[in-house]
Amino acid sequence: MTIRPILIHPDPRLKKVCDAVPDLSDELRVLADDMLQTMYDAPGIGLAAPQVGITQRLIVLDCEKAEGVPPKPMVMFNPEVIRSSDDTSVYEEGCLSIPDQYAEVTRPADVTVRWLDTSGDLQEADFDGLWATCVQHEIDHLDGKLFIDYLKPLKRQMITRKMQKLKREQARM
Amino acid sequence: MTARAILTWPDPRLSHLCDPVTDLAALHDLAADMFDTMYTAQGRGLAAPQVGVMQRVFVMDVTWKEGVKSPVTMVNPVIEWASDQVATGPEGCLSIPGITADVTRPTQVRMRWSDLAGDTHIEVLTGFAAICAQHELDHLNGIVTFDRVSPDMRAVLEQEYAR
Repeated sequence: MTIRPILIHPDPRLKKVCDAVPDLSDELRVLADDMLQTMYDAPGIGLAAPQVGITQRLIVLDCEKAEGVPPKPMVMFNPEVIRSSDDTSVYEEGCLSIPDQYAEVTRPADVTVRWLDTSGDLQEADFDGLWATCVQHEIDHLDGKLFIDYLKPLKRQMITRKMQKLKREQARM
Repeated sequence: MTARAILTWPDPRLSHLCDPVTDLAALHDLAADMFDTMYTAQGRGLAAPQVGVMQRVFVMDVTWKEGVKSPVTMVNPVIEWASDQVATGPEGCLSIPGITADVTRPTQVRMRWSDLAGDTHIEVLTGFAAICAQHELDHLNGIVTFDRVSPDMRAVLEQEYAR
C-alpha cells in the first residue's frame, strides 16, 4: 500500500465528471487500498479517486471516529444515491483537497446508496448522520463537484485564492 | 550569516554550467549564507548560481517547513541512478518568482555528493527530496524549469512571468 499525493483545488481533474468503472481489476483494488491508506494518513473520513488524480467512479470512506470503536473502511465503486430524504442536516464540511477550510453545507439528512463492493457484488445501504454527509460529499467529487460549490461565490472565490497561494507555496523549491 | 540577493531569470548566470568545487574550505561561509538566504526566502533548496556563485554546490532542507530542520549541503553532486518511474508535479523556483511549472522527473534518484568536510555520501532520495535535489542539480547545469517543459508551455509561462 502506498500513500498517494492528494490534489489540491483548483485542479482540472477535480472538475471532471468521472468515468464509470467498467470492470473490477486488481489494479483498481490496489488503488482502493492506497486510497484508504492515504485517507487514514491525512487524516480524513472520505476520499474520492479524482483526489488522487484518477478520474474514475470510486470512493472510500470511514466515518467511525469514536475512541475504541474498530475502523469501518468502506470501498464503493460506481456509487449512486438512489433515495434522499426531504429532511436536511447541516455539517461543517472540509475536504482533503481544500486543506484547513471549513464551511457549513446543507444536505439531505439520510440517503440510500447503491454501489459495487470490492468483490463486484451490488450493495445497497442507508446512511444517516455524518456518514450521509460524507458519502454525498464523496459522490459529488465523482461529478466534479466540491463542497465550496454550495457556498456563495464570494466565499468560494476567497477560498480558491487561498488554495492557489498554498499550491504555489507547496511547489516552491 | 547573511542572506544574499537571489538572481532572477533571465539572468545569464542561471543558464551557465557551473565549475566543480575544488576548495572546500572556501565554501563554509557561502553555504551558511545560502541557508540563510533560502530560509529567508521561504525556500527548501538553493543552488550557488542563484546567488551568483558559479560552483557546483547546493543546499537543501525539505522538512523545515514542517517544523524539523534537516539541512543538507551537496558539493559536486552526481545522479548515479534514476528510476524509470517518472511523475509530473508543480515546481516553483526562487529565481522565477510567481511561476509554477509542471515538470516530469524520475521519482527516485541515487545521488552521490561530498559534504563540507569532504566526506562522500551516497543516498537514494524519494518523494519531494528527489524532486528538489534534481531541481537544484539542474541549476548547476544552467537548467531552469522553463527548460523542462514543452515549447508551447514555455511560451505560456514566460508570458505569465513577464506580466
